Amino acid sequence: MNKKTDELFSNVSDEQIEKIAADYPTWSKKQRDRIFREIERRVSADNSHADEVRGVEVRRSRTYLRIISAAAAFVIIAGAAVGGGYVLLRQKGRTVPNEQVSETDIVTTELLTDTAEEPVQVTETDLLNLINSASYDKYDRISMDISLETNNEETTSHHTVKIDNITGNKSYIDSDFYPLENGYLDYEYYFYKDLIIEVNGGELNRFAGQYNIYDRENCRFDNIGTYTEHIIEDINFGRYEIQEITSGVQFNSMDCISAKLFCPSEAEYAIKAANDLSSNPCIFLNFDEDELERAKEELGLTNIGINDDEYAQLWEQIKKDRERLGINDTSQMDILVDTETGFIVNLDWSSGDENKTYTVDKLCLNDEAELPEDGEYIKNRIAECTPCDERTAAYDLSVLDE
Amino acid sequence: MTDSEIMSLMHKSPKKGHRALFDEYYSYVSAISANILRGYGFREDIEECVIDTFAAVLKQLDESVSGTIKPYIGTVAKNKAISMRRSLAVKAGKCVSIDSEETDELTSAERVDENSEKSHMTELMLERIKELGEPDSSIIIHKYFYEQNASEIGRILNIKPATVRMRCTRAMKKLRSLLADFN
Repeated sequence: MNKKTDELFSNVSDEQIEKIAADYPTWSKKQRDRIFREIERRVSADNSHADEVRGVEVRRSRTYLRIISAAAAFVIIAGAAVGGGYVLLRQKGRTVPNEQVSETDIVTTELLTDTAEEPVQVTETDLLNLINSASYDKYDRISMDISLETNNEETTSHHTVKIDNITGNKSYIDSDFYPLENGYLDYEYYFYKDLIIEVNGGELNRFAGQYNIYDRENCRFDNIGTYTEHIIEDINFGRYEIQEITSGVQFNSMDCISAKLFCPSEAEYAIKAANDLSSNPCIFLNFDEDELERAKEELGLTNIGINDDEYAQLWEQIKKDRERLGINDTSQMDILVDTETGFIVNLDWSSGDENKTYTVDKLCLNDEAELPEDGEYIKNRIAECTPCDERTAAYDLSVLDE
Repeated sequence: MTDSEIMSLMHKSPKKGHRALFDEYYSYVSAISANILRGYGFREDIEECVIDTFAAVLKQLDESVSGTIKPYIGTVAKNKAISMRRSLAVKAGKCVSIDSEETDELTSAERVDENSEKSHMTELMLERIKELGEPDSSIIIHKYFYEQNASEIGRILNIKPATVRMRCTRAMKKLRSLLADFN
């Protein structure tokens, strides 16, 4: 929104607010229901804890808006539901529920340290603290090459992430190969100065050859994340039992801690997640709404954006079907966590015959990291494409020349 | 539903009463929150503020409350929104410490005469927006007052997001021409 439109409502009186409220009620019925459920939850929660918290200002996290779908990871790992571009763009202001971190379960042990003689015990808490402390913001620059493979011929994806925290510019390139269709879905996102420029490509992408521009300031998905953030959310939320932790593991020249995780029932967990976050509105809520709509439209998906009740029901049904058909409902996941950055650099997930592997093939920090593409590169890139709509076509791109 | 009907329902069935109160005032509270938080927060912050307001109001409302509830809800909503705006401003670094050297340069930007004129302009603008007719007037309000995106507006008004975008662009052009006389 530009300055002029910003000022449209810069001086609204109380009477005018009443008028706007009466003439233009906001929110859909579904949104109102969700908000009301959250109000009720808070009122009853506060009543039941009325004697416990006094004189303390408690800042509530937006748990009701968090996406903790058990299936988020499932769907994302499955790689079939949404193009990686949608998956990797995440909204601002996410929080990690530290209260979920168990203080009690001490698992394994091996040497972690500078004194090779003295064994250092690595606990579950240590591991969770490490993965929850990971942040791209800690480094001046980061570049990563990531690959994601599945054994069921669904997708093979390659992602390149480049972040320059000094200038604020970053880029994310996602290339997903679909063997069954024998084609690619490609997305390029350039976060350059005030703009986010999206370029679509790949023979399976019906928007191929088109670019789209968003105002970065007003965009909810200015953060780049890999889908390991979903995994971390699920770990924090208790999806997995951490069964074994081993330190001192080397991977791609990184010193790592490995952990074996086990989920006793995917369906049970999904139902728990939906019920515990009783007002969790939508499993993909952290995507920009426009992106979600486009994802649904583009990929013909009908079961995303469902509310928590429908989500729980869906998983109840999946659970019954799995029991009826004798399908394995457990899952295992081996992760490797880089001790320097806290990033999950390798992940091997399996359930029954399904197997997915996520690997950080290359991780470079600070001076060694590749810089995101510059204005000239982006300008040349979009010169080969057409704007997807009039709004995009009308953008002033002189910023790319600066 | 009147306030006394809401209060009476609340005594008979608290949950139904809560819902009645919410349905009656959610729009008012969200308008107050949106107006105060505009430029500081995201749509989720407005929702959070509305939730905080109703949670606070519902915890305080009891039989002792008599007369109209609206001013009370309006005051709570304003206070909650101002408090949230303060936190968001701190987070975004929009606040200046009282110890900062910059504070000397801070003066009140409020001009009573200008405000009165602006309020009059807002009144005229609201009239012109109404003249656009539906759904364009609603689109403009949802887009620029509540800062909702095309998908959200589409869901509220049962219009496709692409149509919302198109109508919004056209409505803004029309609005500019309607307002041209006042510039």
